[in-house]
Amino acid sequence: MIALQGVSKVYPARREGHTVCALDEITLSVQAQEVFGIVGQSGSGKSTLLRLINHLEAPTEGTVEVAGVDLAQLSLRARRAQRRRIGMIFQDFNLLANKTVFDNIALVLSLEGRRRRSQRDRVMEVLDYVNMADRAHQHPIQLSGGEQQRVAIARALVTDPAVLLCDEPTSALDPQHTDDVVEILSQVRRDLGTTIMLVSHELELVKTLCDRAAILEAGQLAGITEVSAPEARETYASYSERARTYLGPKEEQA
Amino acid sequence: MSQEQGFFQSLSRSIAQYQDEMVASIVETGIMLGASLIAALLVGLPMGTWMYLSRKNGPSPSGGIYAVLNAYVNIVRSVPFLLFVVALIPFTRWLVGTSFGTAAASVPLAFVAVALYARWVEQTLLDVPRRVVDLAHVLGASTFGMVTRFLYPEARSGLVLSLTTVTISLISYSTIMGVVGGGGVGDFAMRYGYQTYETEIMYTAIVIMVVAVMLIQATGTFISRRLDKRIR
Ligand SMILES: Nc1ncnc2c1ncn2[C@@H]1O[C@H](COP(=O)(O)OP(=O)(O)O)[C@@H](O)[C@H]1O
Ligand SMILES: [Mg+2]
Repeated sequence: MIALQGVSKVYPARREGHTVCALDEITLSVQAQEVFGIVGQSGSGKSTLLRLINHLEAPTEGTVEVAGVDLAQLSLRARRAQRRRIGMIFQDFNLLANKTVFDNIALVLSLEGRRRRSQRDRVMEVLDYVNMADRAHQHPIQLSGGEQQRVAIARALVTDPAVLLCDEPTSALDPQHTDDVVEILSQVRRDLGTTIMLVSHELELVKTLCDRAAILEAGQLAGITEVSAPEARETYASYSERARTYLGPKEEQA
Repeated sequence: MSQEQGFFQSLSRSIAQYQDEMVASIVETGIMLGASLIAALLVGLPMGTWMYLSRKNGPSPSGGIYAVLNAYVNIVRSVPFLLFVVALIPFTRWLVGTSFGTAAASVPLAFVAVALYARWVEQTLLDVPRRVVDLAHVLGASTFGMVTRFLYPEARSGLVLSLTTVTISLISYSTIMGVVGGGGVGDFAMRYGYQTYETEIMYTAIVIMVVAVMLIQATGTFISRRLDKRIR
């Protein structure tokens, strides 16, 4: 589904000084419906690798193909259309602050040229999928981080993308909200068969969600591993339950 | 009779006497401001947006375009305004057929309005987080779509506030338009206050301008707050 062939990325020098080689000769491929992790320390090139896949960054060398299409070869217009087949979510959610939840998602359909009337049902459908339908008319500032990320996932899914790119999707969230997001991403892979590429420095998250993971070190591919299934993960209904279990089972009477 | 009473009596007498001219001067200022603000929106907004897009590290960098637009903005803002008005007279005459009167006075004012607002628009758009541009790309927006559906909505409260600031600067610029017969409140104050020593009338005109500026600022701030959903 995704194939990188000898991909390098060199950023021009920010000021005076040396150029940054963010990725060096990366070759890897991701199967359809696979959940593929990318781990590595901060600055190892994870985000750059992800941004090459929807051509937010152009590779300095090598080719990147998604579903057999190399975005670098397309006209601007065709590339824009192709990009909408690739969903993306970010660490900081990246919702437009001045638009409601509903309008944040409807915007994507407007860009596809869908009429206002036919947008409504589809928007509510994806909002329902992430359990945010009742918040459709609120603004992002009124939502918690976890809720904002759920809306961002809905926005990424509204075009039925074949590929979903996730850049540190839980790094700004507390554990309880992380669970919500993990739950939805598992649900996405189960229900929709979306190919997911997940960047994170949190190994636990990658272990929970991914089939395989690439390890990056200073822009180089240090290996690709099969992820072994984690021990049954405890899920908690609430933050207080998680805290109680984690901190110690003995309870004083309140 | 106290001194104070005397002042107010002579004030109301002067106002009654010059009421018509005062109203006419307010209308003249309104026309000059209105025309320049329309120019600011129709030309300054796209120009500032283009500067934002074409600048180095902008979404579609182009050194040439940026240099030209930037030169316009800097030149118009740096030439002393009185000199600029005079220097522009041939163009004004060509454009509106005369170099005298309110319509003619609106021309140099419009040039300034465009330059001031273009710079503000550029700066306001720079305050929009870069990730919004990324998002527009991810969602496959064209450059036009990025500007109208992503940047303007996110920057809208800043765009309103900066238009407010431009309006207020223009009031100040417009006061010298008497030199080309543009009239306006400023010219009115000069004619009656300075030249014929009707001090009360001059202060009345000044008060009118101060109140106008306060109202414009309050309106701008109010609208901008209403548009801003970034804060609860
Ligand atoms: N736009 C850019 N310009 C210059 N250097 C960059 C840019 N983006 C990232 N880099 C550099 O590339 C390297 C990899 O960055 P990144 O892919 O963001 O790493 P990670 O996501 O693993 O933290 C870092 O050294 C970073 O400073
Ligand atoms: Mg990163």
